[in-house]
Amino acid sequence: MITIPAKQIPSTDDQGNATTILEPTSELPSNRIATVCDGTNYTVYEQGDTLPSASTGSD
Amino acid sequence: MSNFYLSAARPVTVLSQSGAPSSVTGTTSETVLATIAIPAGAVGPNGAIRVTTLWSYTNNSNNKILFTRLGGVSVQGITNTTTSAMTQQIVIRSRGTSTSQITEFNSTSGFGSAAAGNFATTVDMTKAQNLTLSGAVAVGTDTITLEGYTVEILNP
Repeated sequence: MITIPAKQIPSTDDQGNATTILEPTSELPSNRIATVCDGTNYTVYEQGDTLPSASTGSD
Repeated sequence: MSNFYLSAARPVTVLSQSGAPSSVTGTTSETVLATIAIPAGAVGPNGAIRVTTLWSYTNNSNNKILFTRLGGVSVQGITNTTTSAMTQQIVIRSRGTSTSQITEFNSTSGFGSAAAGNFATTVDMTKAQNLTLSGAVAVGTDTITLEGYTVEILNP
């Protein structure tokens, strides 16, 4: 499991208004098996790591 | 990978595909969950990019928005609330030139009628561009997961 910091980049929304988007500061590894971003970091899970719990689609 | 490989030898090419889930929670900022690099010249003047995605998200009344962006420009943003999953497909079509595209901008699905009409963009596909799949939750405790995607390049 590795952590990649998130960064804010300038962008525009559907109406052309200025906004920002979070993206990883470096490319996510191609062998990742799952990724979770918490707004600060991207946590990247690789082979052998215990996966985060899957979304159940409910609260 | 040469442009010839993408555009001529194989009219339909799977450019990128993943089934590794990518999630966002804990922030209300739009967050990139996948970035697909499109090589310069890969999409011809009558070519298209077909993007198929599988999403899951928290099932409640809060907005969960699923974005597709080409070259940083939003070509679709679908808002979901009281459902829990969605398969989405959009086709970003060149308009006879590699520097102009049109996509149905439908805020509820990738097909069917749309009051908002089509969405025109002017991304220069003669240059390398990124296609990004991102999500934004209205309430930070909610979660959006990009469960998987397929990005195909279609050239005549």
